Amino acid sequence: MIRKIALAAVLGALAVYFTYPDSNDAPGYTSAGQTHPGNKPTPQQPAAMGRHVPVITDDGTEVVLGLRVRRDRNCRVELKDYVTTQGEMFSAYSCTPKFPAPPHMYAEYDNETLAGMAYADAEAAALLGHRLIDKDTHQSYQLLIRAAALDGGKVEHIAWLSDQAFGATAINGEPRVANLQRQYELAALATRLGDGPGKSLYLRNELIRIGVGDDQLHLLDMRVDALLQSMRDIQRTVLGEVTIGEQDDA
Amino acid sequence: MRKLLPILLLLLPLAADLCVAQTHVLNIVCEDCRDADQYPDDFVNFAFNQIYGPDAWLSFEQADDFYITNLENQTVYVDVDFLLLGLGFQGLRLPFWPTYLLQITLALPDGTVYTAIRSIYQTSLPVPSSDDNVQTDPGGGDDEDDEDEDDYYDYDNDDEWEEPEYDDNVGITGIEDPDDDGFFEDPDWCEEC
Repeated sequence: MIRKIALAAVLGALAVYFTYPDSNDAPGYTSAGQTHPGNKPTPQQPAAMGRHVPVITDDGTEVVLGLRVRRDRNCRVELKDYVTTQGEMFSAYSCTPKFPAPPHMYAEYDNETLAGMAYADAEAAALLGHRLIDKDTHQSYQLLIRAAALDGGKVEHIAWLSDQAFGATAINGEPRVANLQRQYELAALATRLGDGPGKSLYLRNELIRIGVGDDQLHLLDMRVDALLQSMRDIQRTVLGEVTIGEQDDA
Repeated sequence: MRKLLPILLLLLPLAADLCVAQTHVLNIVCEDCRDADQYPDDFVNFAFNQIYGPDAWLSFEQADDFYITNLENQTVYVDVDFLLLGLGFQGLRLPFWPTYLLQITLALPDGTVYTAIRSIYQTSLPVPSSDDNVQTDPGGGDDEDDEDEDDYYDYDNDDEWEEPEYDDNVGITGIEDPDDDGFFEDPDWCEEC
């Protein structure tokens, strides 16, 4: 009996050892910074001070500072200690970009200048739309739809608008129906512009699941038609040709 | 007892894995994230950027769930799910089609569970998520003060469905030909004319 218990203990210890994530495998690094919300993190010696010996694996990742991270990253993994304004200390990881992001080519322009350029310049319309996303959602909506039209139906502008203006889908489990409806509209518009159907189908299913009826869905689909027509009008007026929608009249 | 022992041995790795799983959830600092309860989208965008975008660095295994702490030492738990379209029958659901949507669920310090979705594109999302100092209730909360802030959509009352005003679609093309000063205030211009 004692032998069996001893055997079980040994096997158990081996099992724990082998199932333990190998984030601790890198030599000389601590697992500091792994904290819990309720617990105050204990400041520890920053592992970043240790020798950096990445352990390269064959699945596109490598182990750095005890963490398995992507090998193709453009940032430097660090573990730092921080002191809050209240004097509390905590340690956490970060990945600092190796190079600062290049500024937008119109970053120096004020909103009025961008508004003037937005008539025919997709980049200006998009940048102004980004800037106004919380201050004036209506204007931002118009600008980003316009940017998508001027950009040949580029769905990234529409996806950005959808995410940033209507991204919240539930709070404490309560669905935000209005947001989901706007998300569906924009996803369906993106699908009409050539994006995959998965997103709009998923959102349509979600709307049905939370009780949105067929008549309301029909209205949303009509709005998608109207949005698409508006984009075509923008292209026809500004670019002189229409490249989006079911038929090209270029 | 003889049967219990092998079962115990078989379950031990699983139990050990469960025990250590939470201790290996990563804690990432977000220096630009503002108050978590007021600006949860800062954390959503930051979480997205760790997985996609030019500065992504988390492996998909780690991106499943992690913590984000801002400089005020507010720690937010983040759960990330890749949404899949599924075939369902009698409560069973078989995922089969990618939606290219990321569902990011936050457990905020005040106990609120905030769910948002983001489209998967290789783009960096803004953190802070807005450059103003006052943000309306995310996702159209119940704050009555927000009622007059935006008359385009009624974000604040999900229950009250209003037929979309199709005249508003004129507004989509309504960024008028700018005048000499670059303003769009002249409403006489017509794109269809």
